[in-house]
Amino acid sequence: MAGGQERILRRRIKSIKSTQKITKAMELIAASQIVRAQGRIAAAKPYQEGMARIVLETAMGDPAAAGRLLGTPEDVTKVLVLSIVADRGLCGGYNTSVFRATERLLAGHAKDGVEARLVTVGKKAQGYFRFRGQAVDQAFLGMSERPSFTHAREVAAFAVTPFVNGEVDQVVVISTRFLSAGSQKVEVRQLLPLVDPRTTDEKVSHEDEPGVSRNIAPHEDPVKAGYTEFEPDAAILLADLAPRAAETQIFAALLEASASELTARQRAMAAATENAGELIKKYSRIMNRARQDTITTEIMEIVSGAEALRAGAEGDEGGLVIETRV
Amino acid sequence: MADDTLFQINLVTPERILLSGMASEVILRTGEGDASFLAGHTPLVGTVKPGVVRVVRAEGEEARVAVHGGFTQVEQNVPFDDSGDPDGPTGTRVTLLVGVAELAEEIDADRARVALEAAEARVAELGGTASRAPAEGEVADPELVEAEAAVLRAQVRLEAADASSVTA
Repeated sequence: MAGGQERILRRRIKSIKSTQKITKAMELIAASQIVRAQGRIAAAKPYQEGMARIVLETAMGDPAAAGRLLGTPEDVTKVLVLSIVADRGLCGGYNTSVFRATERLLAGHAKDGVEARLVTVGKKAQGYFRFRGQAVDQAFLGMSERPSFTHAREVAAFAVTPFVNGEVDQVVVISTRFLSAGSQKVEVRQLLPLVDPRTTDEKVSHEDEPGVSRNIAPHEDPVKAGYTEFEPDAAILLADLAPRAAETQIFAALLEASASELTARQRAMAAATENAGELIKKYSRIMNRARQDTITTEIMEIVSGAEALRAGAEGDEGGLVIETRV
Repeated sequence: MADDTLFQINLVTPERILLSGMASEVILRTGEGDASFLAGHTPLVGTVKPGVVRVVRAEGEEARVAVHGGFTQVEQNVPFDDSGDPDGPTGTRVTLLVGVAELAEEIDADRARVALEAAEARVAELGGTASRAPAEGEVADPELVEAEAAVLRAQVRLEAADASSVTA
């Protein structure tokens, strides 16, 4: 009876405690990796900025050369969607929010009769989309923990090449942007054609994190346009540059997604650890009460047993003197 | 800083800044042939071919870097520091963006040699030749292309490493 309940509770508390230890460890690991992931984002910035500058310069150099490589395409009939999530779960809503954004986008395209292809990064995406019967062109695994530029190139081979070959009109990326340690946001961005650097300063605006680029300042006013030499021609150069620039952006997206994943995991694991603490407190209380109840019951039994015996010895007239009030 | 024979050089890979500082000359192989950049070079955007990039530092010593293709940009009137001071020193800035690059002193020549042999063996195994011109109408075997690229990479690496061990 009551003793059994106590044992069940004790076992339960023990199990929660060991889970708590695991979640705590995962929280600490994620926290320590975030710093490294942030460092990698910062280290990759100069290249991205340099690439943005070269693309801008080249686009300024020969405005006619941009062709289908820059700007927003008007007549989109075929789209490639690149969706970036984690390999692992246990990171709160991190994966789900990217999935939701991806499905919304795909549904929108389906309604407009736009043919959409899907390329995913992250093990979680593979399972998710397969379960929903969504065809995936290519799924990449094992990148989210520590993305390297080689990974970005592998992804680009499937996400950028179809655009270069004219199989799709547009390539969009859905991933989580790492705005700061406290804020990450799922974003849908156009990867190709490249966002025209002449019409927007968007590229530069989020590159101004402090302490990132010592030597490479954001591009200056493009007044000097028109006297830069191009070897080879700007048009040829741009055709060369666009896939490289796209690769660079994929790399940036992978890095930011990785940092965001770690942040999400740290937050989720901190919440889990706290929750485990509360459960332990709650169950300890119930267990203590159960133990107290058992003791009380036992005492009552002993006392009533003793009373009954004494009453029996004194003769039967006493009967049950003590009423058991259990 | 007032020295107008010097300019800023940034050799950047996607994962880090490999080399940065003041230099007096940069020699590299562009898509249009070998080129040397000095301070005051006309603004330019070009491609960088796989090869050894030599950077003559302001202090006089030469840094050698094996690069495996990328882009270069020369700009004029770029502030030398990011103090934001509009009257601060300005000058030429040469940026090299390369996907893969290694400093000569970081290259393990022995490993590069082994890699070269392995890559050459792979090319031979795939029935390729060292010349990289596939026959008319023939689709280049991606594995062969990859193997030949590996040969080239190993060669560039060795070239950079060997010369640096000579000067050292």
